[in-house]
Amino acid sequence: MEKNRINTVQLMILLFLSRLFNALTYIPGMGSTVSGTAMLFSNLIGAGVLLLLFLPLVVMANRYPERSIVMNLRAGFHGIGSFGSIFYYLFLILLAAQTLAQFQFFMSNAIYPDAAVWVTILPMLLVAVYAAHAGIEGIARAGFLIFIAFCIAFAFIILSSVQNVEMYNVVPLGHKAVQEIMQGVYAVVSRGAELVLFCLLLPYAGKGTGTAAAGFTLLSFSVQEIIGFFILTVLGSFSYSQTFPFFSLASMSEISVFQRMDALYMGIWVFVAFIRLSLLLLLAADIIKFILPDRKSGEHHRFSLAVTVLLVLAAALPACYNMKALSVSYQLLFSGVPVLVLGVLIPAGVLLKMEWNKKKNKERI
Amino acid sequence: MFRFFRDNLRYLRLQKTLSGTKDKEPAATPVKLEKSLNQNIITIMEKFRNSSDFLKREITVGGHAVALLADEGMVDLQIMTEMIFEPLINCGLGGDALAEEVYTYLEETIPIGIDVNDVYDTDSVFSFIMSGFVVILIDGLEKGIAVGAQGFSFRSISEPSSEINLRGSREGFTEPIRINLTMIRRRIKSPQMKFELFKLGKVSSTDVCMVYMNDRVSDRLVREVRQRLRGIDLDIILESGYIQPYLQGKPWSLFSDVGTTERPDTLCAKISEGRIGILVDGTPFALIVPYFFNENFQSIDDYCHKPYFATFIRWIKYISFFMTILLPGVYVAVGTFHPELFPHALLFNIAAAEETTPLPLVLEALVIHFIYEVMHEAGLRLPRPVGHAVSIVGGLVIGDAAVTAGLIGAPMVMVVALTAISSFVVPSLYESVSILRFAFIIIGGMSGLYGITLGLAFLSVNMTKLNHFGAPYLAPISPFSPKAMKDVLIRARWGKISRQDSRVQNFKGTDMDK
Repeated sequence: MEKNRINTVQLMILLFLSRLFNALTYIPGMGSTVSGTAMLFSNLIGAGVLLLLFLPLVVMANRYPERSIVMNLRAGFHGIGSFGSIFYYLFLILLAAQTLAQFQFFMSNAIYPDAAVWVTILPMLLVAVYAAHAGIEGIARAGFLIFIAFCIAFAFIILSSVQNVEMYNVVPLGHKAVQEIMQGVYAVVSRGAELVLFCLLLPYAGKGTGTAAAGFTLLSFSVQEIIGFFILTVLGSFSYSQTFPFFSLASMSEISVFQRMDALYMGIWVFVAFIRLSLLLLLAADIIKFILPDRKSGEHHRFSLAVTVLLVLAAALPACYNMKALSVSYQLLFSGVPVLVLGVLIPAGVLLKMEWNKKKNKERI
Repeated sequence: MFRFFRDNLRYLRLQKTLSGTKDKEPAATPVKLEKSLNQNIITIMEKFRNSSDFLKREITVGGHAVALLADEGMVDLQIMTEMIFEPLINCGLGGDALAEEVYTYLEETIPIGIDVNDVYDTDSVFSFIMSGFVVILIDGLEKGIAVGAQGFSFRSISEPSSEINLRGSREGFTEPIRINLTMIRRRIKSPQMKFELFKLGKVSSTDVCMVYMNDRVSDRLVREVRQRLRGIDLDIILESGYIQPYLQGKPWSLFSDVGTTERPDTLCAKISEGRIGILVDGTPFALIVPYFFNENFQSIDDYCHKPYFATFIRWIKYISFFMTILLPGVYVAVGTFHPELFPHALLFNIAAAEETTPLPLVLEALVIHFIYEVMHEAGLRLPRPVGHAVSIVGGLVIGDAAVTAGLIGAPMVMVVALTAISSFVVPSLYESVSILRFAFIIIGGMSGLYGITLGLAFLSVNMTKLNHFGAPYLAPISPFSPKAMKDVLIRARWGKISRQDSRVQNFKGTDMDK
């Protein structure tokens, strides 16, 4: 394999781990009126919709291999394309900041209530920077190890929770079932930042991007359904009052050696946050070369990663100290608009434009 | 025009950077041998001034002065006397023979060894003498003859001390490189087995040999290793450890992607998988490149046992590795930050034991591990009987007296004992493991399980970053090669292993030519 390349399985796992960050903070009600039972159906339909949304991206990957959306945007729209890449950069910065802030929020609420903000976020940021500096291969290979660790820990938590399953918590769907399910589907799709990451990871991936997209969707859907089912059946209505229901589930499950399983949950959480953050930092630093290319080499600026990290830190700190800012950033990023625009509409538009350009060139010849 | 010069200069600079070697000073021109034997001897004696081991004997053969030059410790004096000296004295050449005739007689008639070379300059004379040759110079000739009569004493072949196995060969490498090469050749009798010899070390002129199988190794790997060996700019090379850093990818990494072995059978197995072995004269430790993480958990015994038992032993090794780096750190982290994770009965016992100790858990762990490392080092360096005594005294002091005196809790002693024993299960990783153990204790004491998890994330990236010679250090685990996993976490039966192409360049993620 050439340097700076990842294979299909690695791409799938990177996207899955990134998605897992949201899945672990899964709240059945999502702050809305969607019931846990409806959410199980929403996940199923949401996975199908997500798969459909991946289609134009996969077509783009096959027609224009090893080119990210930013490269295609510049090739298709020239000046405007460069301007467009700024939006992708900003999205990644905000997503990284939101990831960091949400990570800190969990740690200070569930694990270390008295810890200062910087004690939580600084080590995480430093290790993520180290990984981003190691490059995509380092992150992808570490991601595979983390995936194995996740599988083991997840199996432990789930298997030790089986004894607590109460099927009477599965309540039938209400009269507004369709509306609830549709709301849930929108929630699943609007949190699909992996659509955008997929567009940006294409230069590193070889063949098999379609398989990676399908595998990612299937895997994340399966895990989401398992989490949803266990939260619903074990915690029941209690889950609606919990900030981190899956963490509560892990705290309740026990085997003879360990009193509680929440340490395993925390382990997964740290690993997943680390992979997601390092991936976002790497991709954001990568975009800088299109926005402000190095005059001599046309490649990365020496300080592109440092600048990105500083911006992420600057954006994350207000959200770390102010709960309202965190909530606003969450609503802004996962309102559906950024993901649909950057992950679906722009790629589809770029694909159409490039196809049109190609046709025009052929006619000219 | 300036651009032309500038571009050329830049190109030269780039070439220099790519080759990774600095321009060397031009080598001094060797001094040619002259017709006058006296003059030659004066020149050579100048080189051997103050060398008490230098031997010089002058005799007359066929009316010509002949000088025999050797190094006392490097040659077998009996061979020298019986095979060279006696025939020379008893030769039937008359007093009016030509110098050329004496030379022809020496070359053709004397029953000397096969290793005969002509020498034309004083540098070669010096080099041959230092390698155990007897150099014969004849008055009136501008050349000499070097005859192999090596006879220096060396340690005999014995069982390797650092890689003891239950089954398999009892032979380990020894110090002279020639004997080590023979041990390899005896095991793989293939014309594809190649031994490339280098003279490295500006002062020591140490023999370094690159061993590989031509039909199995990647050409690119051979080129890269050869280039790196040629780029070594050391004065003296006394051990393979001297050249190891020149072959390593990331010198600051916690793990090494260059392996070592004392066993010829292990080296042969690695070479047959497309790796390169590097032998250095004067040391029994051979280097292996590329080397993967999982190889630290393999041994020749694995292939002699039944597959299920070999798999069981391998799992024990993996578990021991994780236990030795993580157990003290996790114990400190859980005890300090997350005591609720312990089952109640265990928690009460631990709390009762720790209540009587004056030090916090993290300090307790650091101190006791420091003492353990001191004892380990002392036991290693001291003569064996004294070393055993140190171990016993240390064991008693730490195991019993420290607990009785209330300095250390009993659970901590158990953690240390488990950790120490586990660390010996994978001896090749001892260096990395010792440092990591301390690091995880400190991290665990400062930030609990969060720090431990983050430390593991850092470690995983550090290991995956090692990608030297185009071979990922964690292969075939990550990048994952399912077929190659038959000899990683499990040891499949021979039928399955032998069916697969086990060459390193076939692992996923490797960037080598096939």
